Amino acid sequence: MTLDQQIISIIITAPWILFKFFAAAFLLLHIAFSVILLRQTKLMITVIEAKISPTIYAISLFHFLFSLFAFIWSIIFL
Amino acid sequence: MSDAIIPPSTPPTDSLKAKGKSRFTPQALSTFLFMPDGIRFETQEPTETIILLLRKHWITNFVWIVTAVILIVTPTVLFPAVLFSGIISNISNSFVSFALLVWYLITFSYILVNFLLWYFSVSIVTNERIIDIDFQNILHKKFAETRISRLEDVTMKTGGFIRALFNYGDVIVQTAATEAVFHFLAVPKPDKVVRIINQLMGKISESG
Repeated sequence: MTLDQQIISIIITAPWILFKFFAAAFLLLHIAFSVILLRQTKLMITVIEAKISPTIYAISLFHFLFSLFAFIWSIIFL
Repeated sequence: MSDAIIPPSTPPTDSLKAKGKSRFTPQALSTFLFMPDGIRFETQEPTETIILLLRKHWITNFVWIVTAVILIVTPTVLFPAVLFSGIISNISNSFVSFALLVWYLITFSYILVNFLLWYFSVSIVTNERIIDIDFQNILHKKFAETRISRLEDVTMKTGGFIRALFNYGDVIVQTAATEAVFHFLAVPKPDKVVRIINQLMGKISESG
């Protein structure tokens, strides 16, 4: 059975598995994005230091944790 | 504030600060800060004082804020409508939860990225320099600076209904160098910005 045939058989028999795979891949990419965002926020708050800077960093950290939570949730419950 | 001539290398005094509008607005998210307290920038020298800190006018965020509100509200209308209309049958609860989770995750990212780009793109006028920090996107930063003594010409450009209504416009600062032009885009009160920079230029040329 070729790879193409295997993929087609998965789509026909269990499309849910394919959806779960792409959802996990998308959320992994989003985690990478949120890590970059967190790192950039850390750099940005050194460029402009203000009283609100820790709050902005905390929001970025929350965004990263939310992204991580979404990935773990999709792995467990989807 | 417009009458305040700021001597170079002199820390802000209470009388000068009292004239600044920033005293009456929440400093953290203000777009026009005159002699702000508790704000420093990366390459600030010990004797350097921030005279002006400018961001794009709040109204320039209108489009992404409206989009964000639509993104937040849409699931509360769309999801019940789809679920109860029976357009899609046999839809599992876990799929609905997943869709909601991903939707709000993307919305959160959208809001955060737009806010960060607006908040950290600033134009700073100190008693010694002019600094323009522009975050074009999350990965690209443009940093430009020049000494006040090197400035040649400061002009402002405003026009259009929205800009006139909210009193914001572009300030263009030309330096002695051939192609070094600073664009402070969509900053509030451009006339005051030009006046303050001109005062600083005059003061520095007087002191030699």
